Amino acid sequence: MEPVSEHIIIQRILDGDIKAFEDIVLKYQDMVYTLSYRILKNHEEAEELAQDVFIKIYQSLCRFNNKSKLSTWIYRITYNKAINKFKSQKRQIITTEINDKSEFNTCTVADVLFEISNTEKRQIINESILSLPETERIILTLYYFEELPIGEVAEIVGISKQNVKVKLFRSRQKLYNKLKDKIDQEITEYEYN
Amino acid sequence: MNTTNDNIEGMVKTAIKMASIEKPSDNFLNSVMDKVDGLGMERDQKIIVNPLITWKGWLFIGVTIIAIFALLSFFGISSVSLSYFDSYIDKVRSISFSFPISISISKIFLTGLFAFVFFFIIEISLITRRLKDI
Repeated sequence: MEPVSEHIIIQRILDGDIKAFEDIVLKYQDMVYTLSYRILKNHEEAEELAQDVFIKIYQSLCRFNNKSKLSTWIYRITYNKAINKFKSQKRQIITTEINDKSEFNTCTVADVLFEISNTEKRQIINESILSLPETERIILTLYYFEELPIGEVAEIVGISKQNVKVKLFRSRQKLYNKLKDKIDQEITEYEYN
Repeated sequence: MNTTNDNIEGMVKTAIKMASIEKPSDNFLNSVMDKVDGLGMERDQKIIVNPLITWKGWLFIGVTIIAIFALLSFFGISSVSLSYFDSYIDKVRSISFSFPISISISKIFLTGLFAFVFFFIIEISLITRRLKDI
């Protein structure tokens, strides 16, 4: 969707065309839901929160200024709502230590990921992503999946660019270690069976 | 060390792409739209404030004042008497003497006060009418 057409859609919504809001929901529902799920780790809660996010977007659309991208604004609302819900639930944040396993042969992890089935791959990767601290999950998703520039990621999560870079580096290492541990576990289980 | 970091970055990027995006339930769009239908757009939209007197109005007032002064100077009138109001102003001034504390009020003060009240009432009626239109 071009920025110009998004601007037109927004104007139509503001003029009272509720149906035009469907285009916004359709375009962003997957990413809003993914970000919600990656913070809350619960499908029902993520869906409920994603709905709340779109209602908030609809109600606040008149306050959206075209200085920032619509996607950045939507993801920022999603992140803030999800993180607030997460904090209110007072869940234990399981932090992962960065073990220095950088010297581990990176080819092994890549090779094993290549060999196993897609469903298994997705399960292993998703579990590993979900075991990271919530902000790091979001930063990794936005940077590597959505391929947003560092500046936009910083705007969404409300931290400095430098901080995003540091968190990216740390979360990359953590995710890699997580994946390695899971794969080692998978290999051991496979050999045992 | 840099090669290792690059490898890790490449692998993490591939892994996250593989993880793909989560999808909400099929009914998600309908649920959102049902909720949105039940809502009105927030009323705190930017209120467009139109001036009570438009630029045409101000232009008219300006031209009228200039025309009055031009006519007065054309006919050689150097002063204007508001003697018509004098009797009313004197009546109001006489009321002040009935107060326990003697206060003397000048004519210019009373004229200004009347003008203020007069324009204030006009303004209130205009604002009330405008608010009803919004």
